[in-house]
Amino acid sequence: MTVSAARRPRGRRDLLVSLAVVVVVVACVVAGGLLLDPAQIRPNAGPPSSPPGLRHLFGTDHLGRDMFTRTVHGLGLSLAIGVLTAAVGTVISAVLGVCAALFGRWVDGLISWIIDLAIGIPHLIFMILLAFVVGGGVPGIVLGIALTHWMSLALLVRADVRQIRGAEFLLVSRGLGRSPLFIAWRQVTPLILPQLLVGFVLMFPHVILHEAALTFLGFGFSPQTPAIGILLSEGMPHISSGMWWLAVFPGVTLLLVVLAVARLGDRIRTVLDPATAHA
Amino acid sequence: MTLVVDALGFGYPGGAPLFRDAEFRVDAGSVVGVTGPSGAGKSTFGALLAGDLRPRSGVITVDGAPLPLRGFRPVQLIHQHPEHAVNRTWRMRAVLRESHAVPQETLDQLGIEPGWLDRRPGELSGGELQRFCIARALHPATRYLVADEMTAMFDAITQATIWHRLLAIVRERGLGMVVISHEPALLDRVCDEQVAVETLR
Repeated sequence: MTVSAARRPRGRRDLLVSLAVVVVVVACVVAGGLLLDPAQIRPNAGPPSSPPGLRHLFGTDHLGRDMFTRTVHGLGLSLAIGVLTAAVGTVISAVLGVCAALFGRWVDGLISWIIDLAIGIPHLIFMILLAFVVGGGVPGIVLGIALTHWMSLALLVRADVRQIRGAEFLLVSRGLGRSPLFIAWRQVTPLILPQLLVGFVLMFPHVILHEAALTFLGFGFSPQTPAIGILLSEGMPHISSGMWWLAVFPGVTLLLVVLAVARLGDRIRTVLDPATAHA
Repeated sequence: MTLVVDALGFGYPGGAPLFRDAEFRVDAGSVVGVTGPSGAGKSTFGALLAGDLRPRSGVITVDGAPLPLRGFRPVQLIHQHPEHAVNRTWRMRAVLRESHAVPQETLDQLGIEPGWLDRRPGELSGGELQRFCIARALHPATRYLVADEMTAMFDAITQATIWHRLLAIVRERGLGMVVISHEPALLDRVCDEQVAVETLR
């Protein structure tokens, strides 16, 4: 390790390591999606039900589809869904949290009521219901997960904004004739951006796992899509017959991606927390 | 052309009334000092004048028209702690632009250096920041200024510089000014008349 890296604060070094891991994982998945031969996920791409080997790193399933290619495609899909859904959820949290804190007692009461209501519903059931109503696929998954995972971040944002809503610079802004929307967007949003960033990254692993769960339960993607949840649900019945590689490899890779991102989120929070208190 | 406070009543929620039937006036072009011990309601009075707080009763009129509830207010308050009065994530250029395109002449008069415009509040001293807050309050539509302990935290030289330059601008534009302070020496020096806040209660 170089001298300058050793002198850096520990939190920041850990953050860079986690960030590098996530970047490498994402780059591998994207490169795999682009470079791997799509013919490998069609039936009879190799001998059926062959265990992991040099030709088929993760083995093949009973139709002879290459599991490595399917897993990489599935991870790519999971990552894309994760980013999209976490972004939707973060935006909902930010808008509702800021509105609740800034726009008066009536709006606050309404939004707090919606938050309590949404927290009160068991989220797996709510998610399945939403995905079912929208009709599965990408919209069903994105809406189902985003609409069930914004509440805790919205509460955090609301609490943060309540602390600054009486600040003098907001009074000055109002006295200069600025609209509540200008104040919410230009004055308040930059101050809660670190909180939103952490919330976004920490929501991401939840989304990926729930996407797999929804698909596993049959409310997500259609069976021919190479999603991790599909691979897992297809592989489960074959574990008892000795074909362990069908479920283990997709499951373990999903776990590694989720762990890498969750760790990144924790470390971003470690680095940003003191900074938000002092800077 | 007068800022008139008529029969003003105010008290914080749950507290005893702070002002009862208070009468106060500032003519354009004059400087009025408001004195009083800590906790006597000087800053509250300033916030009421600027429209940051709403009176329970009574009216505040600016040149004959009531103080507007929304939109730009012709009475601008300059706070004691400039570092609380600017958003720490903004550059100073944006802080000024939030008010208006401040002419170079005003910047020169207040001694704001061009290099400061691209900094953030954390990279300026309190005295430098306060100049920006003053420049921001000097909107073309501003008729009256309320300076709430504007220079209380500065050393004597910075205090003198800021007051010199601000009073020159105020006289040039014919603005009315309310100076809230508990420093008799300062008030004697800059004010045309002085009002003890106790007489307003």
